[in-house]
Amino acid sequence: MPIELKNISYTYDPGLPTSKEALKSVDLTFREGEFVGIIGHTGSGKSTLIQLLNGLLEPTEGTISLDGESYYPSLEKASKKQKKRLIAARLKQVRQKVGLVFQYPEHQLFEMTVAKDISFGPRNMGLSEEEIEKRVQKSMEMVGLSEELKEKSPFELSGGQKRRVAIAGVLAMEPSFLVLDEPTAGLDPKGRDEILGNIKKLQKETGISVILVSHSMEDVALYAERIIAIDNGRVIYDDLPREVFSHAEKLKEIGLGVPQMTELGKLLASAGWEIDETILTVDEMKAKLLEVLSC
Amino acid sequence: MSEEMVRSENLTFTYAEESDETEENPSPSVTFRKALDGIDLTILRGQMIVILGHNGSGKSTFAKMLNALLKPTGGSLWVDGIDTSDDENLWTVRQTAGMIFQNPDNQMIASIVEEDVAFGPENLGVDPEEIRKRVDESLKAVGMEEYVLSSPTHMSGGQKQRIAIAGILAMKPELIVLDEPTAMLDPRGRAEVMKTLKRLNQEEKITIIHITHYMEEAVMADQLYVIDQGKIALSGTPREVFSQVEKMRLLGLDVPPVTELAHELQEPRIREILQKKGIDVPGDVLSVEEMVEALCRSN
Amino acid sequence: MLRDITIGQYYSADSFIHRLDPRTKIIGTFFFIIILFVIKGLYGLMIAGILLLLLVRLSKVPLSYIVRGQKSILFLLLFTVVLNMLMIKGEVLVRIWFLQITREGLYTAVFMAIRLILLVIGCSLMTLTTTPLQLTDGLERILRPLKKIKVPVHDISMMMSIALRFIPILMEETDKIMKAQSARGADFDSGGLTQKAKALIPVLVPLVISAFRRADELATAMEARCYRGDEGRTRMKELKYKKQDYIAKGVVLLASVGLYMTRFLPSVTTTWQMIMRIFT
Repeated sequence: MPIELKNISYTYDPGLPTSKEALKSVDLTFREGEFVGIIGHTGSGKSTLIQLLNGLLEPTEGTISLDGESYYPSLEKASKKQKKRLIAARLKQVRQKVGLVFQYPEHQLFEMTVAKDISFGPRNMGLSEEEIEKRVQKSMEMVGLSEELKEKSPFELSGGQKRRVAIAGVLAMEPSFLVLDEPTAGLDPKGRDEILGNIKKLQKETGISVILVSHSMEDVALYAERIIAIDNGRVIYDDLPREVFSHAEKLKEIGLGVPQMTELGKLLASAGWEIDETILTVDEMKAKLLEVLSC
Repeated sequence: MSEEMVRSENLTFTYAEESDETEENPSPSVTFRKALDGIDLTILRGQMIVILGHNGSGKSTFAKMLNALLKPTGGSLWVDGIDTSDDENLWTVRQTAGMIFQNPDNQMIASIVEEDVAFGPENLGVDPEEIRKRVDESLKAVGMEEYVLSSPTHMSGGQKQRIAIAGILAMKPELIVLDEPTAMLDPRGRAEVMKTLKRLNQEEKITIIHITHYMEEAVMADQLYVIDQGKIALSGTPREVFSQVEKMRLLGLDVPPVTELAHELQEPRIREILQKKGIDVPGDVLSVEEMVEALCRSN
Repeated sequence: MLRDITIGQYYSADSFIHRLDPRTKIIGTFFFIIILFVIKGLYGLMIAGILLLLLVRLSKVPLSYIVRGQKSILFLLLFTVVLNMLMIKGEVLVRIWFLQITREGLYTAVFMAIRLILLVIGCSLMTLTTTPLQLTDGLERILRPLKKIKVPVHDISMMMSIALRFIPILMEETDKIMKAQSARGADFDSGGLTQKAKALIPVLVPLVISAFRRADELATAMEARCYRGDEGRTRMKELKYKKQDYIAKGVVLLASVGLYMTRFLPSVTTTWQMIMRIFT
């Protein structure tokens, strides 16, 4: 059940002097079960992209579809009112299948209890109380929140816990795709590792697709199976992490970087070491060093 | 002028927390939680200090005490020789130790850059011409002089934080305390802020106390303190602190990947292999360049 | 949508109007508002409109920018127009079921609409060319006499200026929260009025919480920068009337008197009738 973007462009304030083209003819496919990392500096167009994925913005040009069916079906015969209603229904469907967790998602919490807040999504879907109850339970488990927090006010929790509640609120809709915009912003290293570790586990166990927007090259190198690099509204790389990070020069040029181990590998290679592939993690580097030294 | 910028003795801060009324416990009880528990430290003039610690470790409390936003509930804290617990010194302390917070939007008072930078000196009752001079100088010091008349609304996070720093500089502080100023910024903004801080420390000789979660920022410090549960858990130069990889992990903190690699290479089995090739990698490597050098020395 | 609101926002430019003392602008706007309510007849309004357009030109704020900011009052405008059109009795022009539009109603509706538009443009022009802090300083100086009777003039002005500063931030935040809740399936468009109001709870609660958090952080930041109210506070730009202010004030006074005089002109309809009479 892939999400497909074909020739997508998005312009803010079209026709006005303030107009800005945020995305330019983007072609992308997000497949099921993947863990994709999206990198790009602020203003590159990545936050526009994730809002398009969730149907919060309608592309100015091009088509976006989920499971072969467009987000914005062309309903030539339908009246204007009908069309509006049908598209709204379709988008509701899309938003349930493509869950979006915004930056600092804890700022959207509003209910009296954790359980009630998490059930906001499922309730909007019109599920039965029984089903909602089940989903709340399940999604709290998924993000590693203990059950006794259920009846607590979300505002009494710690920063990291609040964020988990917010993520659980999206997971409770049982999406097939989970889009996260910098889920670790503002957390300490431990909180960051816990959240990312949790998401990775989730992806492995449930087969949910994860689309992670991150500023940290170390994090995407560690968790993503595929990386999309965006610059100035265009996709410049869409490949395996090893391939993307082999373009160290270009990435630096557009205000990004490479993981520290990748840089070390490059420097060692130019100093005469026999390291021809791109190294991403400490473990890989250790293994490689041993391999080179042992022969 | 003494060499000591900050000195604390057995500094303690206790929060009173009122528990919620519940069915089992109808009368709410007050519990006391120590946010800081006996901090002893001395920070010298002109140093660049980084404080690390996970969320809730007490580091923000310490930052607020330096600015007399919170007063010690036990022990003492002197900033530039001034006792922060004395109410009479309140405004002198706040002028001496300027403070920058995490969210750039929530510390800007005015809608125009120059007015915001002028806010501090205006509160201090500085003469109008002198304020004008200070505003221009401070904006220049953070490289934002072309934005004097701009509105910060559409600026990047890094630019906003630099303006906030200019606002503090205009008060002519001896010390700037920054409580996670880079947490909400992207890598570019972080680099901008760090460059500015480094320059202020080296050229203007301003003492900097920088609280952060980013290890690459911590590496730049002269002295590093790790706070855990209100106590100083580790302190020393970045090299001394980061080489204690296991302990840092236990404290819920990171070390730079190269330091981790260096630590991994200390395994006896691996050391042996390395030594056979005549390579000696120390356990306290901090940068990629150092690592390359160590590995290539006799290869 | 929400980004269009320009009420209370400063437009950075260097113009005669921008350089005026904020007190001149506040007093000028005050006069303008009074005059708008004193004027009878479309002539006066038309002249006031032309004068206002001249001022806009002089301020170097693009007219399109101001007009875009009017979107937010569109609802109020329509409401006034419809209400006036339907409620005022007189010579019936159109009758639909029990609703009727009268000549007098139509005239009043158009008149009120123009008045409202001019009013908002006039006020926007002041806030667009004066930074909130300048506005505060100006207001504080004008209201200074009230200090004697213990009105906290400084604090009120400071609060106002901070409120203006946070409008764009809270607007952006509202947009963000609405999007976040939409992503969780919230529906802000369909349903009746009660349902729509209910749908706003998930937006309002986080918004209020965030506003409090921001207020708290801002207060701390202000304290950290030695803010202690008006006590011992100086200003980088001290308010001083300059030659241009006296000129501007003179112009305002003249224009006000002139506009007031339009009361004594014959109304548009009578003029029209007079012209028709001459030709027939």
